[in-house]
Amino acid sequence: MNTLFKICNTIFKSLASQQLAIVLLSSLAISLAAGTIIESLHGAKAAQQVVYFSLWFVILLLLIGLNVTLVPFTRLPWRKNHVGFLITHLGIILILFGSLLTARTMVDANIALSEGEKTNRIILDEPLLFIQNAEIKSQAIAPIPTKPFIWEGNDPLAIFGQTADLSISLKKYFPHAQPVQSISKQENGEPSIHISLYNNFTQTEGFLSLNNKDAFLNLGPAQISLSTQPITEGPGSSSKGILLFQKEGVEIKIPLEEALQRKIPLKDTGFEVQVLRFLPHAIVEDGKLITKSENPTNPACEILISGNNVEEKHTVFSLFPNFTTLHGKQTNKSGFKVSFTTNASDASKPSNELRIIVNEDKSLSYQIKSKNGISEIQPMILNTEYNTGWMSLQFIIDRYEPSGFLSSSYAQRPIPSGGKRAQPAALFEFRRGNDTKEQWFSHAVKTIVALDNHHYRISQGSLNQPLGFEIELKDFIVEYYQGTNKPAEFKSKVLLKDPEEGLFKEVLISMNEPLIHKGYRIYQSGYQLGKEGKPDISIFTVSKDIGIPLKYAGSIIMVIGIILIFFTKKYSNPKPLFEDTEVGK
Amino acid sequence: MKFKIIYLSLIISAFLISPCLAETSSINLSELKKMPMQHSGRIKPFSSFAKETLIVTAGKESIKGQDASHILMQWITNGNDWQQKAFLPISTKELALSLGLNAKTKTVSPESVASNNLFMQKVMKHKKRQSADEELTFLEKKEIELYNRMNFFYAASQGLTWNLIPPQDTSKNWLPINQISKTQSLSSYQEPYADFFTAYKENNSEKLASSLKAIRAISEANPFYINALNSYKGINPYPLEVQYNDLRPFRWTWVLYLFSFFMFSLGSFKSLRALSLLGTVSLVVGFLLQTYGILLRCLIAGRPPVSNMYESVIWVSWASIGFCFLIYLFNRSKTVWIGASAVAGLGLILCDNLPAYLDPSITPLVPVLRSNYWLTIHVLTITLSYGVLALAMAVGHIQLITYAFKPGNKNLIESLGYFIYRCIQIGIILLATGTILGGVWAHYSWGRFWGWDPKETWALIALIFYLIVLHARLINWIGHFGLAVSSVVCFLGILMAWYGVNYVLSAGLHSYGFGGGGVGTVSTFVIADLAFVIILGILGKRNLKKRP
Repeated sequence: MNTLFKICNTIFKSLASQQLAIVLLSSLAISLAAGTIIESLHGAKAAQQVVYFSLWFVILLLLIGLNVTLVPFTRLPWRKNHVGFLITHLGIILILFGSLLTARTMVDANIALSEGEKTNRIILDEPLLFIQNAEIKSQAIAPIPTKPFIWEGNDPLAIFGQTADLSISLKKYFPHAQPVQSISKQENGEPSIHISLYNNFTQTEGFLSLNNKDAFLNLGPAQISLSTQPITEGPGSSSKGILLFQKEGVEIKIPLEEALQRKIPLKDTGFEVQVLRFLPHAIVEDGKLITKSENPTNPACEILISGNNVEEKHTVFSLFPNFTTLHGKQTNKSGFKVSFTTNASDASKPSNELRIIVNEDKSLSYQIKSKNGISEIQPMILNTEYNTGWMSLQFIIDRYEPSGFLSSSYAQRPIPSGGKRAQPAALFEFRRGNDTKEQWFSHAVKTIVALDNHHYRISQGSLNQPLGFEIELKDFIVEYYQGTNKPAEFKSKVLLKDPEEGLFKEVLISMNEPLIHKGYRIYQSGYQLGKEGKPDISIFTVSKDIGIPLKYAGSIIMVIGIILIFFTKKYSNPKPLFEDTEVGK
Repeated sequence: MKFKIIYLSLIISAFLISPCLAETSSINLSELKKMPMQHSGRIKPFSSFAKETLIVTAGKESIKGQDASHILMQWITNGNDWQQKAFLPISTKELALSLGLNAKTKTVSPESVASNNLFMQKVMKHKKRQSADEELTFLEKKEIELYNRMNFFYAASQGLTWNLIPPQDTSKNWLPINQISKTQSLSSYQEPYADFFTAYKENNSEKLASSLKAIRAISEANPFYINALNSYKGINPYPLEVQYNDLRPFRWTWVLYLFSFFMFSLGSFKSLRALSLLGTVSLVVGFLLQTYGILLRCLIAGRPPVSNMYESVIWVSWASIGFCFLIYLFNRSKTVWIGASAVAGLGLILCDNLPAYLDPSITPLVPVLRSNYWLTIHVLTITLSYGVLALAMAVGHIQLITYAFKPGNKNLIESLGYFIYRCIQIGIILLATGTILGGVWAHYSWGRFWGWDPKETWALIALIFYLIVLHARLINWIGHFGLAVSSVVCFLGILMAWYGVNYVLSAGLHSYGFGGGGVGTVSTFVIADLAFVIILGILGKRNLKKRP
């Protein structure tokens, strides 16, 4: 019994010793310094995962808390001059306790709203894969394991929901990546090039491949294209036009005449298309779309996309490819982006063109169209500068693969100086039976994975959760510093709707002036440029932290304690050392 | 002997004062300097615009003693000469080589940059890559910087940035003077401006004054102009700002501090004790002048001076002198004044001479920093703690020197020890409070109290450093000697939180080995200082052992 007491006493004494305090504080300082260096090299997420939110760090903090709690008991019985020291330690304990509470319960989320939009959910910073299977009408989610550094391996994902025997595993993870295009060799590939254009004032570059239907790049008033045919004079074809359907990397072209007569399947997507009306000179009269004449002044057509229990009417204008093709605010269920090209839209095409021509023998030539007409076809070779004749622009082709394709993947970017738009990207392997497929995902990437005759619609998003009330963005306002485009302030006029409390009011959220409701604080944190390049998407940070009162109380108590300590004689004037310490030894 | 020393100190002070006496041109531009104009987001007097433009082109506030306003006038009236003058700085050898020049070239003319096709093409490629968010090397950034300097010169020499014409509509945009000839409604300005520049060219003071008067008369018919003149509670703030620009209070302050440093140092020899009285006078005058300068700056900017590195260095140096006065009330040792004047003077010398790294211009704040009560309190508290801890560091040096060379002077060691301990105590209270207030601000503005941001983390690390020292001192792990060494070493934590987080960590530790943002210089300085402290420490330790 006595020995047990002795052991306990020794443990207590060492846990409550000032020596341990110094050791713990030193380890804390070193860990924190390491954390900031990791953050500088690998980003804030990595530092959080490796240091600040890791288990060992929590244990270190708990040990410090234990030490701070026990030390006062070594000073029993407490006297008057202990008051400051006791108060300080109480403050520290409260702060640590508050932090623990925060770590357990903190909500830190985002809301992005464009003007007129509303939401009652918040988006958490936890990436997920959403998996939909059309055949068995199932939905599932799979949380994406995040890694602090570049990672390669095999990490199976936990999937929640019905997936019809699909399994997913993480193969690669880049914490700070941007998409890159490259040309790869392939047996049945098509000619693909990488071209750069530049003069003293500008520089542009891009990839072109005959694998893609429209192998062209636009550069201001000029176009760069890749083709097997030379440039021809005059209007291209006599057809009424071509409808182009785009969806998740699938591109389908259908001549208008064909679809005017019958329903045409859109490849293997399960959808069909039929042209309801063709309007060569479309105008709106009495709220109805009619054609004024038979001249192709403003060609448009109404089409019907049907299939997979969806029936949608789209109206497409040849001259206004950016108009939404669906009426009003309906959601695009079929997911197709439809565009319509006619000679009318050809006419608005740039008059300057640089065409790279792939000859029969797979060698390259080029041809230039400008105000002065169309040039002769000139032979060309790789890595050599040629003059375009416009604005002293020169071009060079530095990569050419006669049988290749353009592949897009992701590459890690340096932190923090490079790639402000970089996002985490991950390569997944999807498996069903013996069929496997690899696919890159990053924020908001959507694609269809076809495996073993099953089609999975897979998209990356984030976990979201209900807020308990609704906010609607009425207006987003940016004020600039005079004569500049530096924002001086931005604020959002929002409508707060809480049916539970019968609340319905307009609130102004500005920098440093959050909306506080039901324990949530909604802050103005930033904005994005909307469609017309105007800032009209407002971004809010939503937080809920119940540890705050404890932290504030602890802070105040601690500071009072420190001040008291320094006014206590024993601490404010350590004994003159000359006679009894270093010198005296 | 005494006479010689006084003579010497006079020579030192003359040497110190010389940079302050700028040669002035014969023609007086004081009326132009006060003219309000719009530049980088605020209305300011011409004088500030000229100063800032010269800093972003030539990298300094004056050229060969000529005031920035005169230089800018000459750019317009004598642009051809100036575009051939080599005054754009080439900061590194690599940049000179990239221009195809001799590696030792230090300056280059705007024209030779503009006509260097190879260089211009390179810069265009870098800019393209920069806008595509790609990482640039140190040299590539320097190449873009030189290109920008050249551009700023050409824009200013064509009047493109001289936004002196008050807005003609409600857009709040002031117009540059090159618009005068292009815009019908501004034709009334044409003649007086032409007269104005000819007068400057002809060195004709009278014509200059009358043309300027005519220009003002036209502008005064414009309500926006009148508003700008009364923008500060009905007071015309521009003469104040011109006064601030011309007075250069912080330059005079460092001269005075440095002078008192020499006087105090010499005064510490018994025979020259009288000199420290001179030092005291100059320290007090310097402190008052610095206080005045800070007040002026607050009035001009309309906010406390804590928004950038330049302002914080000035505030910290002010705080260390202030705390030195305060603690002097309790402990009358003049020895610490050597340290205080050295550390404050050093800070101000850096501010005055590195406009490229420590930007002295008064710029608008980003939205999150605007009109924020907690931020102001937080930053002021934190920087006060930097000031008092810098003082502890400086006195730590003196203590180590004492240990090394005068180990017998127990009274001095005891009083310096008391001083350092007191400084660290005050520092801890302020640093702890300031860091917590930072949390309060972060909660108020960003929605979180603590987010392990490098800046807050390093403030915490520095606080922990000092807490360790204080605890170690209490349980007698260290004595006065250890306290002195710690006060120097722990200040590295402050330096990291203050400078390192912004300039070392943000650039990425891996990015540049050679001095982006002065990292090389600062680390050399820190290492040299540490070596100095180690040598003193070894000497002092040996003295400690020798004693029975």
